[in-house]
Amino acid sequence: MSFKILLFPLFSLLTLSLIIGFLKPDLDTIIEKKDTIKNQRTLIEDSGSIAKHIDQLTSVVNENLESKKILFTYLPTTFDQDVVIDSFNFLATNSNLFVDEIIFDKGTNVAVNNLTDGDGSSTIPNKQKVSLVPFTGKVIGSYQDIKTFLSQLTHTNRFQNMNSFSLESKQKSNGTEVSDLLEGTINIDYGYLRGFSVSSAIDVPFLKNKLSFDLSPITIFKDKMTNIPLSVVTMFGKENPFK
Amino acid sequence: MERTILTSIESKSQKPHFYSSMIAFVIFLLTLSVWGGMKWYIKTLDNTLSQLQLQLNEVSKSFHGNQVDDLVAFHDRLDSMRGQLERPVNTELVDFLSQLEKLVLPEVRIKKYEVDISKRNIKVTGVTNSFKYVAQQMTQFKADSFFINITAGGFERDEAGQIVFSFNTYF
Repeated sequence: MSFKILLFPLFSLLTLSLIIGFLKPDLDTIIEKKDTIKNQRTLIEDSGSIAKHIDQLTSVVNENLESKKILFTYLPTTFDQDVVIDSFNFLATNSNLFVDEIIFDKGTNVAVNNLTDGDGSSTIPNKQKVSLVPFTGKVIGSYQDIKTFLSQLTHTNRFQNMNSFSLESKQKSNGTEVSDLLEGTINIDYGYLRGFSVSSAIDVPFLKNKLSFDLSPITIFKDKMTNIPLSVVTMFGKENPFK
Repeated sequence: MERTILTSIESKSQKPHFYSSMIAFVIFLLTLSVWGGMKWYIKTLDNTLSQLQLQLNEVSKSFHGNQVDDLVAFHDRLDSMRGQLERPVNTELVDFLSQLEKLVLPEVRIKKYEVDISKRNIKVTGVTNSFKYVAQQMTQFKADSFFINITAGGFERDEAGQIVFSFNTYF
């Protein structure tokens, strides 16, 4: 008699446990798997158009070789200390300044401005990071010349983060100041981006989402950019390298 | 007679319990079968997924190489350039100097001007011959909206008797 009374709550409890413990999680799994299937089907169906998009973007790059050159000068694949030293010296000399000191510190890696795929939605998997190398340069000269120099230095053709700068009256060891000469110290992080191999274009959001290149930043950058000619070595070799 | 009536009442009161238990049992069986069906469906979906994954791997293989690497390299640099151009911090170093030129009193000579862009901090060290000009110089900086939260640093006289003062401020 008492067992029969317990049957109803027993089955109700079992049914509820089954729904909460097993049915609901399985339902979520089904929804998730169906979404994945849908996405993968779309990707496979879109593969033809992705290939077409890759060709279109390649022709855009090939038609804008100057922009490509600017971009790869802006963020070269190697740090190129020689280029940094040469640019710094070129700008300083052009502004009648004397380069007093150049220091390179140990570099760090940072994400490229969160490296979005253009629409800000996601990042490229295993995306390379911009390597930053801190650089400190000291120059000596007049106030106006240092001002001209800083104006040009702000707009060099390289990726750079201006960290700090200071101007100080140049002093002799006994404390008396030397005419109008100032010492300018500038601390900059210069960047470079190593090349890397992509496993598949399907993993690259801007190719997958068929986004085109917006080249407007290059135009803006080009307008502000200070032109620094590449140094050309005309003579090399010496009979006595120690003389 | 009385006993017969009691038995009849007892059997009538047991019937609802029996029906409700039966209904609960049937619902339990139905739930169980739905769960079984779902398990089977998940297995089917898994099979479909693994087939699609194979197809996708085949397709992926055809989408890599120098052409894609070059595009990604181009895109990353372009993205980086855009980010640098959109930086909210003013990196026009000359602006900091122009601002200083506007505010320095004729009676004051700047000894050192330090700008820490990452910390948005500026330190100004100057020389003058009277505390009156130190105060006026500080007022001048305070009145300019470019400089925020200006505080005085040290004040001392140098060997020549001039007052060397410093300000700390943010932009």
